[in-house]
Amino acid sequence: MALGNNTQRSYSIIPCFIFVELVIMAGTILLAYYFECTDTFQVHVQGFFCQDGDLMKPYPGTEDESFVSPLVLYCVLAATPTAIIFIGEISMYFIKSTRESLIVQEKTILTGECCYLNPLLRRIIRFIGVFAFGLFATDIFVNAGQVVTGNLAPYFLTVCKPNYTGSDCRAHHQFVNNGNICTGDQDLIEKARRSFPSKHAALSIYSALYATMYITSTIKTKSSRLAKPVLCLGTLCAAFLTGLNRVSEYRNHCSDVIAGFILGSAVALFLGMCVVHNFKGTHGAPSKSKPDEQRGMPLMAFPRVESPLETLSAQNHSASMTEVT
Amino acid sequence: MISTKDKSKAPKDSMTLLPCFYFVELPIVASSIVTLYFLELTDLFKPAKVGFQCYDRALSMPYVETNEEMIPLLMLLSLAFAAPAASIMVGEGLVYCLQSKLKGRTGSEGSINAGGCNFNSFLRRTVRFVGVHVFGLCATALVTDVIQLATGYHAPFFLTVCKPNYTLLGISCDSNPYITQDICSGQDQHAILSARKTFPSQHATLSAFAAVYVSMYFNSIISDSTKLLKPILVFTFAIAAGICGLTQITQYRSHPIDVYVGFLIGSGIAAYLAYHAVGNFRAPTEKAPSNPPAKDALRALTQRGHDSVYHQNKSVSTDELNPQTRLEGMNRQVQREKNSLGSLKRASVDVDLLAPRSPMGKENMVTFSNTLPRVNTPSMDDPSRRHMTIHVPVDASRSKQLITEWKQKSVEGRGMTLAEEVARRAGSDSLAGEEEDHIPPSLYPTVQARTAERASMGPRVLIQPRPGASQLVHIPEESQANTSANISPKSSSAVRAKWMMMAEKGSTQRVANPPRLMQVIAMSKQQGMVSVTPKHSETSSSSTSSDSSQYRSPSERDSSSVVTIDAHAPHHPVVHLSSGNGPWEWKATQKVPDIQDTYELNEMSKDYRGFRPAKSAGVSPGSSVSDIEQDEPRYGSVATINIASGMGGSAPIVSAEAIPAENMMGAASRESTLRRKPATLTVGEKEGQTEETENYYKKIQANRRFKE
Repeated sequence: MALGNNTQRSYSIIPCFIFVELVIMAGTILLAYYFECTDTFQVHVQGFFCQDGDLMKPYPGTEDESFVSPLVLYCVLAATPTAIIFIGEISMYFIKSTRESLIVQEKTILTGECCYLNPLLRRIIRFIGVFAFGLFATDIFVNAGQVVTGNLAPYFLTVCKPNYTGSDCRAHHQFVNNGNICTGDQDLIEKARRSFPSKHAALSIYSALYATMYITSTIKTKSSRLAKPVLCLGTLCAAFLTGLNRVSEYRNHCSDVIAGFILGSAVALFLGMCVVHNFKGTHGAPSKSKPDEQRGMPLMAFPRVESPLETLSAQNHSASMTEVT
Repeated sequence: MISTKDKSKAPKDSMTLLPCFYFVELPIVASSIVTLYFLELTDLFKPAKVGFQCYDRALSMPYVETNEEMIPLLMLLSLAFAAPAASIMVGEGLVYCLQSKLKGRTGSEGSINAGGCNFNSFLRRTVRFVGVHVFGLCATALVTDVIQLATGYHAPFFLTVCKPNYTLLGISCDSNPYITQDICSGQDQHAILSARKTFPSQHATLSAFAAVYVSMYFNSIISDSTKLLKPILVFTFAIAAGICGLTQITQYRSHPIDVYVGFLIGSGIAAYLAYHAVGNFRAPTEKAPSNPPAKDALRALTQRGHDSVYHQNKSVSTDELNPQTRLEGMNRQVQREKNSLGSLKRASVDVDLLAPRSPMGKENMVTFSNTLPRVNTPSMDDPSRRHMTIHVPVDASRSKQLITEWKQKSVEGRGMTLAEEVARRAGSDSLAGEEEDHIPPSLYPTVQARTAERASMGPRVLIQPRPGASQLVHIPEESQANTSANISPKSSSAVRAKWMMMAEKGSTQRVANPPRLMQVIAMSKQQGMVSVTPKHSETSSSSTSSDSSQYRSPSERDSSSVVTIDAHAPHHPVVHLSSGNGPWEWKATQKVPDIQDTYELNEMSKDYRGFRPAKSAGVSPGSSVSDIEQDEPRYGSVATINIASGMGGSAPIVSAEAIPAENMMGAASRESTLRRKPATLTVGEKEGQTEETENYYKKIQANRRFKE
């Protein structure tokens, strides 16, 4: 009661955060870790045609030699939206005009007796948390696809160096079903079997699209009309080029990259529109408070005298109920 | 409880629900399943003939035997059916549990009675969503089969199982690479047939349908309070569906394009069904406007009280109230909006004035018709009429004074008045013969014909402003008595709180309060004429003590009635008079000796216990029909009670000690009290009664404590 208009007391937010969000997040990260760093999930062994021209592209070297090395890529695509969201939220909070509209959307939550979670903190944690979750979820999607399909990279036959002597491989339509004829480096072959969909494409497009959606729906610049489009298209373009680079370096088929694009944008769109609701304030708040308003409005029209009455009535009714029964 | 809640939301009875389900939904699903059976498991329809190229590499993939498949069709079907159905059932169960806990949830839908069965929202929603899911699965499989048969594209393993005998052609493959003849030499006809049905992939469409459908379900029912629960569920189903489709590619049973197109078709059907067949899993929207102001805590509680009474006495005949119920049903819809809006406005504008004219839904009248609401009904039926009745007072200022004073009184005496009224009514209904000696015969007919009664209301209300000065003198007795009882501020506040509680407890009666105020005022005039004597109060006290035990048994409103009877003791005869429902009865009743009246009351209250069931049974059906409208009126009545009790509590203002205790009351009520204080002061009299009243109070308190 003593709390202000924009403050809301909630005891459930911290337990909910710890026992639901963090558990889900931890599970997701754990699964991504198993996919990425362990051999828990064996890749499906896919057959190939003898002398398949599509799989005989030159080997472009290890991933680190690529134009977009994985380390740089991961750092950039994780840091860019985080930084954009951070800067955007803080500037929104400290610019007066936007702050007011922000506070209307979002309430400060008082949890327990001491902890105030103000809108700035809540929004930053929510958006960045959802972004991180989406990143890991995309990674799981991509890994699951790669492991299940076991699609072969364009340079597979180059690193596999198959030994055709055992098989009848005169015609080009002969399908080699077992992968045991490979004589090349096993690690490289394992990597070459993970191609569909392209991880780089999916992650980069996800990150870029999430950042773009945040910029579009949050940052309102009246003075500069070109800053926002340039920023958005720049990030999207970078992600697009990352995907194309994979194809041009013979690391992925074109279909892999396209599937990665579709996958990443689907995840980003779903998270942006259905989960954080276009980065607006809590979407559920108006609908949730509607019954409260309806309930409270008539009471508010009366002098406050009635609240004790109401509570008393509640007690009495239960008492009378027990009497009757 | 559930039935009450739902009563307010949905039309309770549906004649079309079951027939529609039996004769429309079931045949559609059944026919689609039958068609699916013919398409899927019989050779009735042959796939279209499509040629192929010699040694086509894309068709030369190895053949994975049906029993070696990673996800055989049967497993896919059971998974695609069971996983979403189980998820929907669990989700609906949780929603239903939460919903019955927080009853005010918007968008919830009520239960429907059809064919003697009660289908609650959980059952209906589950059957609807799962049924649509089953139908969607059938439709998806059907569409997939039809497209597969129509296109007749070859699966990647076609040439493997076909084992074409190229020598049959007579032409070398080099000169005519495209072969349209059937040159298959393979033995496995079933495999060849299945190899000609591949576009789009059955697995992909079914899994995509199931995943998208259940994802949309979760997307619409999971609230935003947890940010990650929704995506994790959606992603889980999406990954499962994706893997399901991708295994078709890796096992060479479908081309990639088949799987992708299958995903598109499946999700398209799912999205269409989810949006247009089940309305995105939300409750039907046309019901939403009908229950906007529903559900406040008070109302739920009061309803519980009603229901318990109702259920207790269900077996008794209900014919008594039929005409009234019908009347209500007619203009219920129209009235509700006006009533609620008007009540809100008025309540905020002037609390003081609100008391007499507090908005009362007709349903209230039905509900409490056994207590007193008839007085109220006509004025409440529409705002204009209500205004008329209220503004009629002959002498405005004087009548206002009277009203406030009598509000105090009525608060004290309200319960008793009610109880007496009830008793009287019951008695008059059933024991007309017994009462005939002192009650004019006209009473009985009036009770039976409600409509006539309603018409007679107006005049009756009009009577109130007329009380002469002599009554004014008399009225304050009660407040004075009250004063002494409440001498210390603490005790006064306690008493007031008690009054509030009582007012709440007798929830059914509470609503009838405003009208009774009017009535009491009217009675006050009568009282003024009939001089109240100490002897009278004594008799009443005896009757009270005996009454208290009797009133407890009929229902839970005992405590209020007990107390009120005590406080109101001196008014017995007055109340008695009021039971005559027409203005013309006043004089006749006045002639009755006071003492006799009191005894009569006793008897009647005994009778009342016996007869109340019948009454309430008759009442509650009406109330159940129009539960929605009750809330608004109730707000008004609540306000009224507050004021009234405030008056009762602040009566000690005379002694100036109770003022601090009055702080609880709204400014408006205090103002009104202060304004009327002079009147109270001027008329202070009759200290003799004070002690008695005090005693009664104590007795009552002890009683209540004991019982609670």
